[in-house]
This record gives sequence, structure tokens and C-alpha cells, in this order.
Amino acid sequence: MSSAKCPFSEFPDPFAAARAAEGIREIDDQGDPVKMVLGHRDVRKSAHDWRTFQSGAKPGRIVVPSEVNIRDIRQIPFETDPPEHTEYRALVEGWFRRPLTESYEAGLTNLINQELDRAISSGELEVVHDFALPLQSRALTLLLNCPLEEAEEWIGWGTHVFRSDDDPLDGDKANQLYDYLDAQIERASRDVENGEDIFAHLLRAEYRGRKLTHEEIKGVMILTFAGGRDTVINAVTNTLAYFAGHPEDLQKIREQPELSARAVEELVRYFAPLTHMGRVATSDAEVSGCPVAADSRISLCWASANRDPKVFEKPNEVDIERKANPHLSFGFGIHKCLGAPHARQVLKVLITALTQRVSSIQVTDHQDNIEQWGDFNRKVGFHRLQVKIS
Amino acid sequence: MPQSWCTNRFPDKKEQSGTVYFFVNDLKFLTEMAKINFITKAGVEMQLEAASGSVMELAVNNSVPGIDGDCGGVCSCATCHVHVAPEDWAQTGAPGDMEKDMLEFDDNASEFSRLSCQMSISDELDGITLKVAN
Repeated sequence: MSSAKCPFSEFPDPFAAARAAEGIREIDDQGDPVKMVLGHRDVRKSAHDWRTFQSGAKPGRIVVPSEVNIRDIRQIPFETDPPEHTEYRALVEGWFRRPLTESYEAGLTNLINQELDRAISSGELEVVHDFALPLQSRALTLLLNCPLEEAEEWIGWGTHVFRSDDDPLDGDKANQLYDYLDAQIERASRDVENGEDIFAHLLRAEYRGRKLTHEEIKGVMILTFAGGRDTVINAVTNTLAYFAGHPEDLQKIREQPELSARAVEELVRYFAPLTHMGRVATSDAEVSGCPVAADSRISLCWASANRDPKVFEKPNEVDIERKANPHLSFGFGIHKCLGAPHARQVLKVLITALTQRVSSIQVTDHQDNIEQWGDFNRKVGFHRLQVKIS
Repeated sequence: MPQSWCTNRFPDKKEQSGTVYFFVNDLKFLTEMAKINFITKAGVEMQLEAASGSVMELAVNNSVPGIDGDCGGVCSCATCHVHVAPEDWAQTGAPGDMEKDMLEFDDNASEFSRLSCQMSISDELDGITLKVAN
């Protein structure tokens, strides 16, 4: 842990005052306001209460900013509630736990070592587009169990599947993903029996005594592509920025490799790659003493909960040895992140590779990615991070 | 089995400095194993032994179904939830504050709930029975 302030590896907490005062703050989003829930306990309580705060609203509405105008397809199991959610989730849970196997870890290690060697041999690079995006895309081929070459097309899509640089809700970009998924489902359906990728897995799956529809499979895959894209890219980029500013922590892990699992959890707590996720109230309710009207939206602000001083000692400091760390970066309750085992493995393998292969990371230029939520300005990552690496 | 569970088995040793301590602890490893009984959701009984580490690590190392320990043992994921047999509650003790927080909104929680990543193995736990919650 270092108290030295570093201009690129600091991720300030913009929610502190509002969290301590009212604990909730309403922001506008395309005319469909959202009450952001800020305290650790209130976030957990609301996430747990899926009957009152549902996910199975109009597709796109629980996402902030809302995607109702660019998406009709329901993301599965994400935008459903029990009992449907329980059954959908059971169909994909095992697949998304494959990252915990030794062979998956070995494949990921091989892939990340290659990315890092490429970076080191070029000596200087822009991390977001030249390292994190290709790494995330190629790692995703392991999760989908598809050929590595598929990643080249995904890399071409850029860092976010629904957002382009000048438009946070770009319908054309979404269509690119939908067309790709239609083609992949069509391809996989030609050999359902022997296919080994996720498309074949979903085509074989049974839901309530029937096969999944094309639309349902597409819903699972949109979630897979959208949920694990800018989040993983931010986590990877921010990790490099952090160790550039705190080489002493990387040295500590080099000396004590068993710290890497705790370091991953602590960095994920500190970065909170996804700021918040929405829910829609099914009836009039109350959160943190504030009324929430039926059919209005709240959001569960993971980023704010992770800095709650009622739960975390020195919440704004990174302590890679933090032992008890009940962060909410992967959500909480029945909808907790399906991709978490993959994301954790990516970061653990990356940190291990950094300790073994990298002696120095120097940031030469950076442009922060600042999200605006009402009056809150939150740094979630970088638009650009230029580094020298050796 | 991910490698981390192997490298992670003795995470706290380095903090307790002194070679004499290691030596004594290594002897304990040979002599004072704690036997812990797990009963899975499917009703399968597994008796496992260890001298150190956490109960979660013991379960994950031996692939006890329903104990995943996704976060590596920092009380974040609640995938290592167990119900302590009531007669053994005095041996395990009650959960700490953060652990209690994470169990507060768990539908499977009971008055005998613990997150097994927060239970350190010692001879005090010898003979206890834990029902896997998930």
C-alpha cells in the first residue's frame, strides 16, 4: 500500500458525500429517471429483493443508460426473474464455470503470455486498443470455446458493442453484433450434435421440456458479448495503470505469489468496472428512507458500495493484502455476474504474467474515461493509456 | 482444480515470522489433523482432514459439491456457505461482522450459517459437521 498520489492510478470516489447524507440520488436518463442506491447494505438489500426490484422489465430498461430504444431482445438470464431466471441460469452456469479448470487456466496463461510478449517486444503501446481489447477478445474465444481467429472480427468492433466514440447508444453497432450472432447460430445449427462451442451447447439445451428459441440463444449471447467487453477491458487497462504507479505492489506479489487472488479481489473492488445496474420497482417501495414509485427505476451502485466506510477500512486505498473484502463489483444475489470466474481468472493470470515477465511499466500519456451520472463524475478507466513497457 | 488453491493453502504463514514457528507448525501438520464432516445438498457425507488453511480451502481441494470459493476466501462471493450442526456451534463460534453482512440477505441462511472461508482450521474444529448450504 502506498499513500503517494499518482495522477493515473487514482480512482476517486465521487459518491462519498451523497452516500453519507441521503444514501440515494436521483439522476435523469433519457427521461426515465434512476434513483441510484449508494450504501453497501441498501445495495445488498435491494439486490436481494428481486420481487420488489425486478430485472424482467422491458428489455434494455434495467441498463443505465437505458437501451430500450436500441434493443428489443431480452438478455438471458440477466433480464428475467425467478422462476424463469433460475431455470435459464441453470442451463448456462456450468459452462461459465469452466474457467476454473486447469486446462482453461493453462490456455489463458498461454494466450496472455503471448499478448504480453508482443507488448514487451514493441516496447511502447496504447493499452486500451493495442493490449486490453485484443486480450479480452482472444480470451473470450476460450469462454465460447471457439477458434482463436474469431477474435479478429470482434476486435474490429471496438471496445463496446453498443457504444461508439461519439454515440453512447449506437443502434448500428448493435446490429453488427446481432447479424454476427444470427450467422453463428445458423452455422452451429448445421451440426448441433457434435458442435463444441457455446452456440452448440445452447442449441442442445432443454428449457421446460423444449429447445431454446433462436431469440433466447441470441439473448444469452448478447449478454455474453456486452457484459464482458468494456468491463474486462477497463479492468485489464486499469490493472496495468495501477502497477505502473505502484511497482512496489507488483514486487510484493512477485515475492508472495499466493497474494495474487487477494490482489485480484482488491483491484476489482477499487476499480468497480461496472458502476451500477438498474432494477424496476414492481410496487411502491422505499429505499434508504426514500420513496420509490411503482414502475420507476433504481440502480444498485456497486462502485459506491465498494467505498462504503461502514464496511471497508480505508476504502479509498488499495490494499492488495485485504483479507475480508465483501466488494460488490460482480453484483450480489441471484443475478451476480455469470462471467465472474472468467474475469477473475483473466486478472489472476495477467497479474502472474506481469510479475514473471515485466520489470517496468511507465505511463507516458493518458486520457481518463470519466462517466457522468447527474452531478457525479466517475473515472471508470481510460480512453487512452500510452505506456512504455519492458 | 485451479492452481491457486494449491499455492494458497498456507496464505498466512509468512506473516508469522521465525523459523522456529514454521518448524513447530510443520510438526503440528503431522500430529494434529482436524477431521471435518461435510454433508452435501444431495446428502453425501465426506470426512476430510487438514491441519491448517481454511475450511473452504479444504472443501475446494477435495471438490466438495456446493463449495466453490470463487473469490479465493475474502468473504466476497458467498459460494462457501455452510450450516454448522447446532451441537458444534460452540466450537466454530459465530460469524464476524462482515461475514454476517454477507449472510444477511442469503435465502439459505439460518442461525447456524457460516462462510467457510472465514473458518480457520485448527484442532478446535476436530469432529464438527457442516451441511453445505447450496
